Amino acid sequence: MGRVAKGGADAFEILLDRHFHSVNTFCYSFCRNRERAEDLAQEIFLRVYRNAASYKPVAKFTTWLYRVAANLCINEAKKAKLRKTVSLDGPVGNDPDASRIVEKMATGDPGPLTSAERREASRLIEEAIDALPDDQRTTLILVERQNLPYKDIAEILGVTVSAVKMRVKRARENLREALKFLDASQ
Amino acid sequence: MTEGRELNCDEVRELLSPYLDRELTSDEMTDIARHLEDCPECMHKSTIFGQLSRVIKHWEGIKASEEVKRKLMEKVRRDSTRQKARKTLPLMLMLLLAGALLLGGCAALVVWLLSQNGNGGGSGERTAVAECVHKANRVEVITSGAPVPVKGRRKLYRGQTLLCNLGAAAQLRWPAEGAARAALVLRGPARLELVDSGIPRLEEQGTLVFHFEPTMSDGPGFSLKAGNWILVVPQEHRPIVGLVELRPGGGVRVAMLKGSVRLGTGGPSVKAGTEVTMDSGGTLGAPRKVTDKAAFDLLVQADSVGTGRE
Repeated sequence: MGRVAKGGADAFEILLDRHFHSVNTFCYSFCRNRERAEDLAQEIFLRVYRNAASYKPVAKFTTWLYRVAANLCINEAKKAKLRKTVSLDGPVGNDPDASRIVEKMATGDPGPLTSAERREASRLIEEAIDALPDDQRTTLILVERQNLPYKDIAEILGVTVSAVKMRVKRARENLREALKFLDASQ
Repeated sequence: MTEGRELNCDEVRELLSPYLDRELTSDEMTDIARHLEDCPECMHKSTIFGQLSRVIKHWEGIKASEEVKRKLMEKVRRDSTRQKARKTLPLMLMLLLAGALLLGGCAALVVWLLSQNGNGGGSGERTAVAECVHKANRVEVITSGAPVPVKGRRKLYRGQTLLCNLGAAAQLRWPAEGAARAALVLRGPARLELVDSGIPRLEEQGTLVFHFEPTMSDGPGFSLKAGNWILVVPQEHRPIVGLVELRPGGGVRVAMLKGSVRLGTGGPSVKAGTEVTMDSGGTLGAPRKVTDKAAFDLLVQADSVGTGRE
């Protein structure tokens, strides 16, 4: 970040390679629109670049990055009412092949997967995640994908640690409902 | 929760999520782990949650196209270039300003030097020949280039030319410094050149009234030029007052009120109270009495208007 602050575009490119994908997914968890998520992710990284000088290494870079991201996404969501209601009536997993792959993933030993299988499984998980309420989805992604501690997530999202704890618990309960076939496989 | 306390299933399921995320104290972690060992139902739920975590970690997420990243990098590189330009801009401005000041200073110095050189005349000598002490109406001096209006007293140097427009007059003190030896009054339209030798020369046309002070020592006299004619003023122990008028055709009239002058070296002498004319071909007219004495009052008149009224 020090090099980025000094205007180092090359140093910034390294940051981009490391974090762009995760931030894009995070943005998607807010707006649930791929193109919009890409626009938001671009804007977030531009802000990071332009405000690199204000970054203080007292906080983890990822915490700072997601705070910038959350601020922008929350504002955007409020302004444009981007959040669309995606509510699934029932559990996902009607595709038996995809369900089987996800079951394998759940056991921790999916074995070698073809790219088509991986795409199918991803679509199924995405549907389940999409079915979560906005706050639960965003919090869960920060926990599971970014491995951030509750305290940092609370700071990023501007809520209490208890609220984060509650959101994660409920997100898992709902996800379990959405991927009910996992229960049956036990 | 206290250490070693038995937890019931509701309590464990409430804490299961932070347990999996390792967000509990080590005592709480131990208590829950102990409960899970003994409770298949809670263990099952914990397993499901663990599986969900693995599933989410396997999820590829939403992949942005490489094109998006490329565009972003383009923007950042443009930003970076602008930032660098912004950083160097103040320095460049300061350098430009310093350069401009330096150039300005050099230009001012050159102008001053030229003006001083102009004042000093073509010979480069810096000694003033005469000083314009009074003037009436528009009087100009040509130093180098365009004529400059004379405002107030002004020293005149070799090579300079004094211009009196119609109706204007200028009174000169000669020499410029030290004891005054003569007063010269130029009546316009007239053009008086201070040639490099320092001798005043009436050019083209005009009238020059002269008043030489008596000197106590012998020596070479003074000279005045009027066109191609030279007026030799002897060194005398009495005042010499006269005028020379250069006519448009090249002829000259010399009239003397006091003392005498010679028109040309070895030429005719013009005595006090007389005037002579000579045409452009050198034919001398018969001497006659000065009738227009008012012309000599010009000195007095010039004195009276010498406050610089334009």
